[in-house]
Amino acid sequence: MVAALLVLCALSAPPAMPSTGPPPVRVDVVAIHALDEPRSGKLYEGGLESVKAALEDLPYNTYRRLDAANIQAPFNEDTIVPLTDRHRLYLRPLSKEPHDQVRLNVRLHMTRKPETGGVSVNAINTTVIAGAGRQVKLRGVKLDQGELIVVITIRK
Amino acid sequence: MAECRWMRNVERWVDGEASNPVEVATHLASCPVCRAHERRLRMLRNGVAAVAQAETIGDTRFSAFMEGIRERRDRRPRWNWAWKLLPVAAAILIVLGGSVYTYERLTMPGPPVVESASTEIEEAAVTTYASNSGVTTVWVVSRDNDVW
Repeated sequence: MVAALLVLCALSAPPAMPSTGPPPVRVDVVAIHALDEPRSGKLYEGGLESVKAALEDLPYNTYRRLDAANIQAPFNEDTIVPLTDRHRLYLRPLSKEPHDQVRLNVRLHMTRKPETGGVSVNAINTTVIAGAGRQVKLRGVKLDQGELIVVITIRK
Repeated sequence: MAECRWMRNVERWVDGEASNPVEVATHLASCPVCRAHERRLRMLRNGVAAVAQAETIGDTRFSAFMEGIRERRDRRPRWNWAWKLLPVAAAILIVLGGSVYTYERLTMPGPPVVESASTEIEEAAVTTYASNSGVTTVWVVSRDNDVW
């Protein structure tokens, strides 16, 4: 009798509701190879219009787009964005902040060339608080006589 | 209506403008057409004179008449007060608009803030800065001869 009642309760219990956490953070990622080439004036390849302002303080005269992606990054999960064959970007939204901002952990992971050991390291590991429309730029990672630049734009 | 070549002269004679009044009067005595025309002219003139009488204001109505004139002179247009309020309304709108703009500027988040930044690259350091365009940069600075 008791067992029957327990089974009945289990059957009549409502199904488990999925967690209703915050929606994923929408992020645009653009990877750029910045270098100097023998030319006068600056060259910005196509597809860099949305990040051109972020590149203006850099000392190079040539900016070539390596990759671009529109990402939906769930909270408290790593979203991986491949940039090159040796570089990956990890995005991990941590929390929502006041004024519609988000706390975001960003790791630029790279694998050294085989001739230098092939070791994998986090070249940059940073946590930022940013609002919609704001941009974060990662620079300093060397790439073929130039730099790998990554511009991350937070979307609404 | 019968016609007579003296009819025009009769019209001038009735108006007191005939140059030959004696001849016109002599003709009228012998011309029934012109006599009938004269009668019509005099009836017409007397009828117009009876209608076109200048309005006169008697003493008993004079004060009310003047009061009406003053009232129409002193009456202000209905929309006059609205024009006086227009600059006040414009000033209020400007102040409100400026307040909203200032509030939004003060409460709108600025460039991204870096809570923490580090690198696992040996003998490298991380620095951060914000540019005038509102972009926050995280920069790993390593040795120049570091080959990756």
